[in-house]
Amino acid sequence: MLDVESLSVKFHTRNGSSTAVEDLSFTIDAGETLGIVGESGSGKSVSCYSMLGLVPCPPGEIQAKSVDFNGKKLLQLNNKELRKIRGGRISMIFQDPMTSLNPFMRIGEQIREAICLHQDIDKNQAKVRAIAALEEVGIKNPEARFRDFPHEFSGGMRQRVMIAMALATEPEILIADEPTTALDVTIQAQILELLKQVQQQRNLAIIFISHDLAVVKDVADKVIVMEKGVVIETGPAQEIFSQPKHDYTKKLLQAIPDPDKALKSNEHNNSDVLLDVAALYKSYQRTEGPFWRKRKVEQEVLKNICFNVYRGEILGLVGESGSGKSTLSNIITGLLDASSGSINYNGRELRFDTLAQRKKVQLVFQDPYASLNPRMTIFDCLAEPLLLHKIVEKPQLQEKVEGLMVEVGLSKEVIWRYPHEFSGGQRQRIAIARALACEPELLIADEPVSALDVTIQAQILRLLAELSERKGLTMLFISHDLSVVHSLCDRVIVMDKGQIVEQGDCDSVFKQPQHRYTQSLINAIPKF
Amino acid sequence: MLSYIVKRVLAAIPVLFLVVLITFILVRIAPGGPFDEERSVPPQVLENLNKRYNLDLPVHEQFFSYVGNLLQGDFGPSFKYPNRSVTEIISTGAPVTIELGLYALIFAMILGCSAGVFAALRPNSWRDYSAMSTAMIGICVPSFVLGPLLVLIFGIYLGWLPVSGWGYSPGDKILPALTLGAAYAAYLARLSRGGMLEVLNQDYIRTARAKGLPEWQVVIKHGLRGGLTPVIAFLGPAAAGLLSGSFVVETIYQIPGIGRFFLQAAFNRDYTMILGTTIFFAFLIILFNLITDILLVWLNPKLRSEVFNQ
Repeated sequence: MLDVESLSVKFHTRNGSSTAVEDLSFTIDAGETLGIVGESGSGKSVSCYSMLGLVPCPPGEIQAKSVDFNGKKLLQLNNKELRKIRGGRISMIFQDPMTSLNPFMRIGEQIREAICLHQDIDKNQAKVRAIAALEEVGIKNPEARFRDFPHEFSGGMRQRVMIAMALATEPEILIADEPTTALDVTIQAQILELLKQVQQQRNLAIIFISHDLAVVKDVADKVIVMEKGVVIETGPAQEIFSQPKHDYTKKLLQAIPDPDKALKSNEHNNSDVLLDVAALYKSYQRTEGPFWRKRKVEQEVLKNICFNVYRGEILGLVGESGSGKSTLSNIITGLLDASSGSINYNGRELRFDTLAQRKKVQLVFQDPYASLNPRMTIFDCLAEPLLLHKIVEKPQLQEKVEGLMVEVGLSKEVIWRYPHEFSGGQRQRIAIARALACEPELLIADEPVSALDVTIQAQILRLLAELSERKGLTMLFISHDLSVVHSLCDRVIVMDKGQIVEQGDCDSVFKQPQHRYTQSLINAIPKF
Repeated sequence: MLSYIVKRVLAAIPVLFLVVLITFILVRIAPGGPFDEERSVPPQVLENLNKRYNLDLPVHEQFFSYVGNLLQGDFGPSFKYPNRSVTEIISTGAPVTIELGLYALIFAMILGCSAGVFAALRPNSWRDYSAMSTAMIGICVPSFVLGPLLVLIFGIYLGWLPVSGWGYSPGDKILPALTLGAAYAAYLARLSRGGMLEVLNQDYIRTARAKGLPEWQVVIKHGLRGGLTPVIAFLGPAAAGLLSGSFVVETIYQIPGIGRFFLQAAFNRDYTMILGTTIFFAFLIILFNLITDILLVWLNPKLRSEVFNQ
């Protein structure tokens, strides 16, 4: 159906030309799923956008022997002809359903717009179709929800709306660009199921772009592995995943967290309690109603949280978005106050009144791009906590900063650079170095690897495991990714809707989950 | 929504009261008085004048009697124009000033927003640079330079438009509106360019393109709503600036608006006139900011539902 032969995309900018995609060839037929796998910057999205005229030229330059869609040469079509295909016969869905729908427009209107554009029917018929499309993707009560705005839907529901919009025009090919990356694991499983189902019903061809190998393995018939714009390996999915030929593919597969190969030998003394959280509650008060008859509404976000963190262990905290895990970490670090309950640290109530107390608990955040001050050099960034806590004197400062850099696996020559000169993984190392600068006892890592590519993720996880072992650092590792937690942590806590539903030894929780929620979480992980 | 509006209107009352209080104190502190002239007035006459206008009373009593009258809609007599009350002057001048401001605002919106959107569609191209440098000039050239320039070109050399007056001959409202609106058009151009640039990089614009919408529909149907948000946020302050800044234009074009009285009152120490015009402008400024805020909430579905559900 779609036959692409040596597609290349170049970008010409003032700083010279760069090649985003080089010599990409593939074919896809009705009912097939083609997976395109690669890390960020590998050119997997650009290649699909370029076929449909979504890459602005200039600065882009697209070349190909042929891009043939049912006899039509896509690259030779003019704008108007291409628009008929784009969105009509080849539809797309995108990564972030939160931002991919127009927040100012009712969702029904957005779907109807797509239908009216590609099909010669009037507005009322289009509305009927749109409602049918919403129903098909599992939106309950579609007539009423037709008039809702995107913000009135949850993330998973919004992705369903996106899918409804893409399918409403009855396309032959659906390009799904990281469609489940921004979603929780149980929602991801539902969306993947939905895609498989509509594919069967409509004999749809799907191009599935993802960085997540497990997901691609789950859905794809054929796979293309890309790195830096170049196709590394291509073939049937089974073959690629069971007998990868190329080193890069092997490296990608090895980077997937493997619970059987624990990153860390858990030899620690389980009796020494460092952090003791008991009967912790947190609720927010909201006011409802007009100001002359306001009433207060209590919303509980944490209910009866009790757990211990033992000295030297890595404790995983797992939950989906909205489960309260970030609220909990904010309370432990003193950024929020609990409504009731107690947190004891080393046998005494945890307080952050003095610098010395503050220094014991440190944080590493999710987004290494946003969590480093872009106007401070790495030296300043690391020196600030060192001077603040009087850990070293001025003369030894540079030596200490260099030592920290080496400790997290970076070169000590680069300390005078600014954050934008580093890659995401390097920045996360810097963020870890900054936390280590305070010589903390407890490190709270809030989704520290979820913004990173899988190979980088593996490196950072190894670094964390190593640091915990070498320095005897205690760690609270917060993540939505169960396999990451399984491979790194000693024990795990599972949270759902503000409550701890299960806690225990990592291996036993993952192998024999007791609670229904944990079971559904574990079942939702794409199996490898 | 209603609850939100009521709350905002109630919050405006103490603001207005403070404006009255501060202005009242400031004009009394300022040296000189309404009856100080180069030609000195006999003491007996001055005493009578002070008595007539209650200026012989203690300041706090003057204040309370002024506020009392104000609550009944009476701004008091003008000290400078003994035959006319401040209420009368404002009610004849204000409609003219408001009309002028409105035309200027409409002109500024149309020119500014289209220039901004035009520039944002091709950032860093000649289109962008020419639109934005014109806007920069518009911001830099003050209205007392632009006004006479326009009069010279369109009124005298080309003879297309009348050079002064308001409502006496057809087209005499055009030049004043252009002069007053030019600087705001330039500001709005910059704001709408920035807003559009941000919105056009959003994911949902990519979605709109992926649907197969033609580019003009992408911009108009999906881009404008979000892109013009900063413009709407600026409308409140802009309307206030247009109204209170109109005295230059009113003087150039001989327009019987309120702006001239505003300025002259300050020079003349015409206490009641200063207070009256200040309160009037303060009221308008609060009103326009309120309208802007409501518009911003209304245009954003998420905020709208939050405010509704309050």
